[in-house]
Amino acid sequence: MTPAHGSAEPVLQAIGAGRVYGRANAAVPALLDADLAFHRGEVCALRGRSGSGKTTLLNLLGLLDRPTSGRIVFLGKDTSGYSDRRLALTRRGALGYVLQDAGLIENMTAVDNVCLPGFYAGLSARRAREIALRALGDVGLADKAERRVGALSGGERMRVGLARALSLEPQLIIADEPTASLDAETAHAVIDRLARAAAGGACVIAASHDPIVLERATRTVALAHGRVVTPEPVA
Amino acid sequence: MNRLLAVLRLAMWAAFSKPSRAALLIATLGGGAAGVAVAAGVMSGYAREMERMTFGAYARSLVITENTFLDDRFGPPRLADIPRLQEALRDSVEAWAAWRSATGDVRYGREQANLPVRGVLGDYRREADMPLQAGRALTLAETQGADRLCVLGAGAARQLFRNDPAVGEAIRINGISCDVVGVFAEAENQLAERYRQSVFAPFTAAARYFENADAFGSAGPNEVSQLTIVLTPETRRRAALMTADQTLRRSHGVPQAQVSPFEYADPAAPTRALERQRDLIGRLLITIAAVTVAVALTGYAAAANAAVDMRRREIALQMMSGATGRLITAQVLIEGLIIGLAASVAGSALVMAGAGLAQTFARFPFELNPGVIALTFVAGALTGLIASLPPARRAASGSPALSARG
Repeated sequence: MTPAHGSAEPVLQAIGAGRVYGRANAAVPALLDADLAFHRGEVCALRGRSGSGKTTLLNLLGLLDRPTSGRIVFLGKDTSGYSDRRLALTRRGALGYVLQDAGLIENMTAVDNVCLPGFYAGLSARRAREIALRALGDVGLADKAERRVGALSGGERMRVGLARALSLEPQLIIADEPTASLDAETAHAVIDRLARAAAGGACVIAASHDPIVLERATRTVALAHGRVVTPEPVA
Repeated sequence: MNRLLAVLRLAMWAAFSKPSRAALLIATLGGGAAGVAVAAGVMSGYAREMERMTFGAYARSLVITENTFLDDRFGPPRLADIPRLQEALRDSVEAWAAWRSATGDVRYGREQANLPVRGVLGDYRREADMPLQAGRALTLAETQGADRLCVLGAGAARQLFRNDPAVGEAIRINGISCDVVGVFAEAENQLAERYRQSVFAPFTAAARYFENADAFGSAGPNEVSQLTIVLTPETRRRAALMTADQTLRRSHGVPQAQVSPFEYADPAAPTRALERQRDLIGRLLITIAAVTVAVALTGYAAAANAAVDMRRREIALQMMSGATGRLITAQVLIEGLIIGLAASVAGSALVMAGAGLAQTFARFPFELNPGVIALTFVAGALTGLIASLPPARRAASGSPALSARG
C-alpha cells in the first residue's frame, strides 16, 4: 500500500472491515476482513466478479453503510460508531459519488441535480448554482444545464453525474462502474476527468472491469467471494 | 438558513414534480378541506343571520300590543300603564318606549308618499337602532313634548328628498308642517329595517297630525299601539310577563279567567329558533367535516407513503449528497404542508362554486368570509402536515446505500 503521490496519511482506511447482511441462519457475509488504505492522488480500481463484494465495499468506503465488523477510518477518524446524521454530515462536500447509471433525480434539470451537494453543504442557492454551472461546463454540458435529465443521452447523464460528484472538489471520489455502458470516447473523457481530480489531490476509488479504467488506475484491488485478494500497485 | 431554503425549494419541486401524483394528493386532502369549508361556511352563515336578528337589549323586551283576536275588546295599552308596570316590575325594567303608529300623507314640495308615522315616547331607539346619517335624533324631552319635529328613516328621506339634504327642511304630515331635525342611516339589523320608511315624531305631536284623519282609529290620546318594556339581563322573562299581564288585567278590569286582552311578543324567539337550527345542523356538519378530514388524513398518509416508496432511490440520492434524516423529514413535511395549502385552495374553490350553484336552487345560510377561508387553510395545512408524519419518518429511515442500486 504505497502512497502514489507521497502523502503518508491515508485519506481512507478499511481496517478488518466486514459486512454481513441478515441475521442468524439467514446471515449472508458480503465482505470479510478488508484491510485497505487509500491516499490522496491515487486512482484505485476495484475489480472482481459480480457478487464479489465490490459494491458492498464501495458503500462502506463511501460512508453510505456501516461495517458489521472492523472499522472505516476517514481523514484519521473512525466512523464506525457514527450515527446516520454524523455520517451524512461527514459525507457533505468531502465525498463525491459517480454511480453506474449516473444516479440522477429524474424530472430535475441537470443544473439542479448538480446543485444538490452544494445545497446540503449549506451554500446559498446562487453560489450552489454558480458552482454547478462551472462543473457542468467542465464536463462540456454548459449548454444543457437547464435540460431535464430525462431528456439527456446516456453519456450526457453520466457526465452530469460526474459534474455532481466533482462540483465541490471532494477529497474522496467513489465511482461504481463509471464507464459501463458508455462509448469509448465518453469513457475516456470520464476517466480523464477522474484522473485529473486525483492529480488535484483527491483519492479516486472506482469499481470497474473496464480496461480503460484499469489502464489509468495507479493501483488495483481485486475482490473474490467477499475477500480482498490482491491489493497490488499497478506498474 | 441556506439549507432550510434549499429544503423548501426541493419540497416545492418534489410536491409538483409528478403532476398526476400531486393532483391525486390534492384531491385527497381537498375533500377534507372542503368538508371544513362547508361546515365553517354554514356556521358562519348562521352567525351572520343571527347577528342580523340580534336586537341587543330589545331581545329581552316585553312587547305589549292589543290582542285583536278577541271578540270582547278592552282597547290597547295606555300611557298610564307605564308607571303601573314600572312599579310592578320594579328593578327589572331597564328602559321603556311607547309607540303610536299610523300611515300618513307625507309631502315635501311636489314629492308625496304614504309613509308610516311613528309617535314615539321614551327610549325608542332600542328598537329603531339605526345610526344617524345627518342631524340628530329626538331627545327624551322632545318625545315627551308636542313640538312639531321629526326624524326620517333612510328610505323615507330618499323618497321625499332624493339625494338632497333633508335636515332643516319642513315636511307636511296630513297637511301639518313638521321640521326635519335628523335622518337615520340604513339599518344594520332586521328589526330596525322595519323603520327605514318611517317618520318619527314626538308621541303627542304625532296624535295632532291625525286629529282630522281617522288613521289612529278610535284610539284615545293616551292609547298606544305598542308598549316596549326592556327587562334587565338577569330578569326571568316568563315571570316578568306574568307580572305585567296581572298588572294590565287589574288596570283594564279583565278577570284572570278570561283570555288576556294583550299580546306579549317575544322578540328573541326567531333568534332562538335559528340557534336551535344552527346547533342541530352544526353538529351534523362538524361530524361530516371530522369524518372527511379523517378520511383525507388516512388517504393522504397512505398515498404519501406509497409515493415515498416510489421515491426511495431519489431520497437515497439526496442522502448520498449530504441530506440528513432531519432534512428529509422536513422536506416531506413541507411537501405535505404545500399540498395541504393547495388542497385548501381547491377545497375552498369547490365549495364556493358548489354553494353558489346550490343557492340558486335553495336559500340557506352560507358565508365564505376571510375567517372561514383562513380556517379552511389552517385545517388543510394541518391535515397535510399531520398526514405527512408517517411518510416523513419512513423517508428519513431509508438508507443512502440504496443510491448505488440503479
